[in-house]
Amino acid sequence: MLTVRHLTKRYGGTTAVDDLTFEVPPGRVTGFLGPNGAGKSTTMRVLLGLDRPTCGEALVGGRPYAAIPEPAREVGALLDASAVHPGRSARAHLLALARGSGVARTRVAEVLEAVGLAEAARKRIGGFSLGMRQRLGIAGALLGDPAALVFDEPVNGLDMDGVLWVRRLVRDLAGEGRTVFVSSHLMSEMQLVADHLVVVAAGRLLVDAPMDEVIAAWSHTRTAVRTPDAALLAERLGAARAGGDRAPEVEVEPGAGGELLVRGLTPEQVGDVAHAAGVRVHTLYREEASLERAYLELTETAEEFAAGASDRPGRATAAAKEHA
Amino acid sequence: MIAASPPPARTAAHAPVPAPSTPRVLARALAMEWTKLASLRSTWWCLGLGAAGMAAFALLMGVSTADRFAEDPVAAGEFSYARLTSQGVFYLVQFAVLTLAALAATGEYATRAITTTLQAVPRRGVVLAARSAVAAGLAFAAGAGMTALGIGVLWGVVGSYAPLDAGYALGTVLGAGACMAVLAVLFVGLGTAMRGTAGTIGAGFLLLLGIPLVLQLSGLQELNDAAAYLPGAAAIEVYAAGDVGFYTAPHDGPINIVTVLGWAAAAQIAGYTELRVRDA
Repeated sequence: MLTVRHLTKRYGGTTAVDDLTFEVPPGRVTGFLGPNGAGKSTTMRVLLGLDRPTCGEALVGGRPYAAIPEPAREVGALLDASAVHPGRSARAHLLALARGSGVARTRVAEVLEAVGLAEAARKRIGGFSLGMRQRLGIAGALLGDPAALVFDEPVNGLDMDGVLWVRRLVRDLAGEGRTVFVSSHLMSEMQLVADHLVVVAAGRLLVDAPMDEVIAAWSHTRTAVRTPDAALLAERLGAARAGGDRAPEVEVEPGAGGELLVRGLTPEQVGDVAHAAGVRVHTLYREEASLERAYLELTETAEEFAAGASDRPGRATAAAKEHA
Repeated sequence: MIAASPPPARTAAHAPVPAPSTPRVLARALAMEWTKLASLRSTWWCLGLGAAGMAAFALLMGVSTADRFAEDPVAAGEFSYARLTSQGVFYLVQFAVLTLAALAATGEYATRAITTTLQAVPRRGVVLAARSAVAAGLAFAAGAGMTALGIGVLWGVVGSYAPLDAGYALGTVLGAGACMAVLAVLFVGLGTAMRGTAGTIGAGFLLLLGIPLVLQLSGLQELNDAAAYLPGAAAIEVYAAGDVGFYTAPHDGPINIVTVLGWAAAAQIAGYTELRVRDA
């Protein structure tokens, strides 16, 4: 369990993290999503005792990092894959970490094997690709067989095989009952691995909710239709109702590419309406809800609220939720 | 047939563990720092170059001295093994130790690997202590070993003219080792405070050689004497046992030991404060 409570971190005049509160429970993958510079890495650095919080606290298993008796068994982290000495071999790097954290040296060979670096164990890290360094960093995080894992952008620089491998590893680790906290600025990646999302922007919490709830609350599946007779079709669609009075209201709005975006009707229903009206249809497809769109809507709403009123981000988020 | 069962899950929840004692944490940190230092080529390059420099210096001095003694055997009576090798330590070996200690202290700031180190050992004072101790141990071995090497080479060349007092030589060897160890502690502290490798080596060079030379060039006796309170000049007084061969201090004895230790203590306090207060 990782706990972040009213965490604020300022570097000089810049506020990297602003009154952030959330929890990361065990047994699921918690995604930490936000644009670059949103404060994700800073939050992780405070969690791992590297940076001192200005206010608030970040705890691992209820304790600040420095107070954990055997930190390597409690939490393993990959923060920056390139933060290794290029002149050392992969094996020596891990051996030093194992010795420092009181982990049996037999674990070094085990984790090297687990991340697929057994062959390169005696090679100097300077010759490693970024993908190999990411694997080495993950090996270091797994060294103490920890109850919690913190990965900062773990798929950066990985090839397709590596990306698939990380996804599986992250899922497996959570499946074993561990606490898994993964940051990314790639929304598509989060959608594939995370069960729960903590979304931040400009150091503030935007959302802390299960993945499907985030997608459902902030975006809707829509039907996009392209036609040369847009005005007529829009009128007919507006009058249509899918299944009696209890069905959702139909909303039609023009899309960016000249198409109509229809909420409340399936492509089949839109096609039927068009057919009945004698309207020519050139394109007709379902626009699936995605984290990407949810995220864009979310950050837009947050920006509008921030610009509109000097409201606290927490309330702005709640209001945005109702609005959506 | 494909086995359908998932791989055995490792238990994620650990039984509560007692906190390891401070000596245990320190022992682990020592093992970690030693593994890191020993696994870098730069460490062995520093030591190799230091030893090669000392051997070359001793050979050069030995050969020219032997020529002099061949013409004037009486002069050999005043020959001092300690004086020549101490100069080798002062001009060469201590810079190998400076480089070694600076790299040990600052290397992880350049690569940012300090973050993984502090995750393994979150107690920063323990990290600094371990790093200082490992650098000091290696510096002791380097200082003693290179001094012994220098005396050995000199003895090989001029031994037939000037007999070697083994007991006195041992004092020089151990003295140089001890002083190099204290200088390593100083520069690990300074490097931890400064964080930059180039800055640390530059500052170390000024402390060991640059500033004392300038003070002596000033021609003012007060400044000239003040140079003796710098760590390099005080250290050579210790390991050469006062027989430095060039003017350093108006004073011999324990004051020089106190001076070197004082510099090391001050640098460690500065390094520890920086390490504790600043974000890694």
